[in-house]
Amino acid sequence: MNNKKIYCIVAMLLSTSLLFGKSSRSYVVKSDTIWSNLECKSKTTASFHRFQNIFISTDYVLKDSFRISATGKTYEDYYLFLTLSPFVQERFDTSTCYNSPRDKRLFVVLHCKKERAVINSINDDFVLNRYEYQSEPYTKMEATTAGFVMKYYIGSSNRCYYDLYFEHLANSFYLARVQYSCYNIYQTDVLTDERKYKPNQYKIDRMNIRSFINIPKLK
Amino acid sequence: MPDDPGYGCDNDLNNYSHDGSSVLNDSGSDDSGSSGFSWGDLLSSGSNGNSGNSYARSGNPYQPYMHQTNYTNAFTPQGNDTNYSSYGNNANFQKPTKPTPPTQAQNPNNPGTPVLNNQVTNNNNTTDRDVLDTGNLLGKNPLKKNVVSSDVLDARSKTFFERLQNEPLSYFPQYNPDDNLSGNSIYPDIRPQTGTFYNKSGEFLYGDGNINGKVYVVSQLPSFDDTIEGSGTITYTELKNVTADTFRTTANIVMQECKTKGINEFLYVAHTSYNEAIANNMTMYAKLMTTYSSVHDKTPLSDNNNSVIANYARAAVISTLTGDIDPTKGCRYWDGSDFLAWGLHSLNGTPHNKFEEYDEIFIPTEVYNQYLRNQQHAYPSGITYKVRNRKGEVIRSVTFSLPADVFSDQNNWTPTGFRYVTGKHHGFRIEAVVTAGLTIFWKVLPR
Repeated sequence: MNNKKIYCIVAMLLSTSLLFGKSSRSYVVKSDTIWSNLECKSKTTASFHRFQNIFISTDYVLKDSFRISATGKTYEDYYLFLTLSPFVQERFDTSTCYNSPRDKRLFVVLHCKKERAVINSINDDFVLNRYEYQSEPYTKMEATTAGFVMKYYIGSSNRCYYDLYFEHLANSFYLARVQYSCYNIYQTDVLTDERKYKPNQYKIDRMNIRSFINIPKLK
Repeated sequence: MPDDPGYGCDNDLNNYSHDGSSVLNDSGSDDSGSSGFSWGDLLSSGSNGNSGNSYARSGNPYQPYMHQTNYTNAFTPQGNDTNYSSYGNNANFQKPTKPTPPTQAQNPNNPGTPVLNNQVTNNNNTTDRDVLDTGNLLGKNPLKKNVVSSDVLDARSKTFFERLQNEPLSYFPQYNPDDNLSGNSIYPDIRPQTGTFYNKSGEFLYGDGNINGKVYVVSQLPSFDDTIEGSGTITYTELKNVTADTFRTTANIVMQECKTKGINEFLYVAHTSYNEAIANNMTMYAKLMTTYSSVHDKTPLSDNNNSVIANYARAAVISTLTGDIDPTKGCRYWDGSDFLAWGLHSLNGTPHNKFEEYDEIFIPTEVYNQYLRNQQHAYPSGITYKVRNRKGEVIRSVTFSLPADVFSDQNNWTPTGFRYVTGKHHGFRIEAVVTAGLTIFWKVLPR
C-alpha cells in the first residue's frame, strides 16, 4: 500500500470521527445529568448545578424558572420549568473559553415527585436565542390556570408582543393559542390577532417556536 | 390548574415565589450573587457520582471561566486603512465633485481611445508594476501613491468606468500583453475589471454584473494632473464578507429601516446593526436577514437607484464595512416614539420592555432633550395608538402624552441625566448615546 492510500485512509477515519464523534447538539443527557457540549479550552474539570437528583452543567446559566402543580392541588407532584442559557449568551465577552456564541438555549421540564426529579423533556428550539432577534429577545414565562404562557418581545423597528399559551394534557404540555400585538416604533397602528390550536397538535418537547412567531406586514 | 397555593414541598425551593409565577425573577447572569435569586437558591451543586469528576463549585460557579470583559474591542473598527476619513464628518456624505479629465490626445492608431502620457500599462499585478514603473517618464510612481493597504487601478480605469457605462464591452480592444510598453504614449489597459465599484458616498460607479462578485469602494478618483503625485490613480478597497448582491440587500434593508431621511440616522442604524452582528459573531448581512430587521423587502437595492436615500444607505453600509469610527460608540439597539410615550405603562399595561429587560436606564440630558424635542415636534398633541384586528377594524385606541410620567418624575433625574433603576437583576444596563430623528440608540453595558 503506497503512502497516498495510507494518507487517504487516515484522512477518511479522521473526518468520520469528526463527523460522528461529536453531537450536533450543544448538550448531552446521560442518566440524570445534562452535560454541555460547549467548548471551553481552559476548562479542565466539569462542574454542575444540582437540583435534587438532577445535575446540570455550569456551562449553562439559569435564566428563568417556575413550577406548576401536576395535580392542580398541591406541590407534592409538580413540573419545574427551567430556561438554561449557554454562558456565552449571557456575557459580553465571547471569550476564548466559550467561543461558540451560537449555542442554543434549552427549555427543560422536570417532573418532580417526592423529592425526586425526572427529566420530562428538553427542547433547544423552544427559547429564542440572543443572536436571533433584537431586544435579546425578551422572554418571560408565567403560570396560568391551565398551564403556562411564554411571552416574547421581538423585532427592531417592527416589534411584536407574542404570547404563546400552553396547556397541560396527559403528562405533557401542548400549544393552545398564540396571541400577538405588533407595531412599528414610528407609527401608531397596532395590529393584534389570535390563533387557536387543536389539543395534542403541538407538544412542547418537539415544537420549534420559530414556526409560530412571524412579524406580520405592517403599514 | 390553580396557581401556586404557597406551600413548597421540597427543601431546595426555599425561595420559591408564592405568586404562582416565575420562581426566578432574575437571570442567572448576575454572577456577583447579589441578585434576588440564582442557581444557588434553586439548585445546589455538588459531585455527580456518574461522572467521576470533582465538581468544585464555589460561591461563583462561573468564576473559573470568567475572562476580562473586552466589550469595547467588539466595536473596534475593523479596517486599517487610515487613509479614509470618518463618517463622523457628514461632509463625507456630500456628493463628490468628479474631477474633470483634461483634454486628452487621441491615439492615432485607435481613434477614440485616449492616450495617457504619464501612465504605464498596469495589469494590476504588483510585480509587473514594479517593473513597469521604471519606464515612467516622469520619474514618479503613480501607482504607489496614496495607497494604504488598498489596491489601485491606474487612470485608464477611469476611462474604463466612464466608457463602460455607455458602450458595450465589445467596443473595447482586448489587452495585448505583448504591447510595447516603452515610450511616451501607450494604449490604455482597458480590460474589464471584475467586481462592483461604489464610492464612499454610496454612488454606483461600475459593476460587472456578477451578483456573487466582489465589492470595492473607491476612495480616490484620478485627477489626471501630472503635477500632482499620485494623480491618475484610483484607490479602492475590497469590502470583506460581502458579495455584490449581499451588499445591495444590506443597503436596501438599512434604507427601509430609516424613517426620517436624515443622514445621521442611516449611519447610526447601519453601525448599530453592524455592532449587533459582530456581537453575535455574524455578518451584517446575515444579521439583517434575520428578524432583527423586520422590513419585508429584503431584495437587492438596484444600482440604478441613485436617489439620495439610496446613496445614504449604501454609504452607511460602506462606512461600517470599511471600519470607519463608529459614531454610535457601540450601540446595539434602538427605540422610537414608543419608549418615550409608554414609559412604565405600555399598551398592555406593562412597562415598555426596556424597563423590564435591563437593570438600569440612563439617558444623558442633552440626548434626552433632543429626543424629546424631536418627538414633541412630530407629535405635538401626544400619540394615539389604534389597535386593529386582522380585518383592520379599530378595536380600541389609546392616547399617550409626551413624555410619559416616569420621565417627568424629578426623582429619576440626576445632574447628568435621566437615570432609572428598574429593580431587575438581569446583569445589564443600557445607556443612550445618540439620537437622530425619532430614534434613540442604546448601548448595553454590564451592570
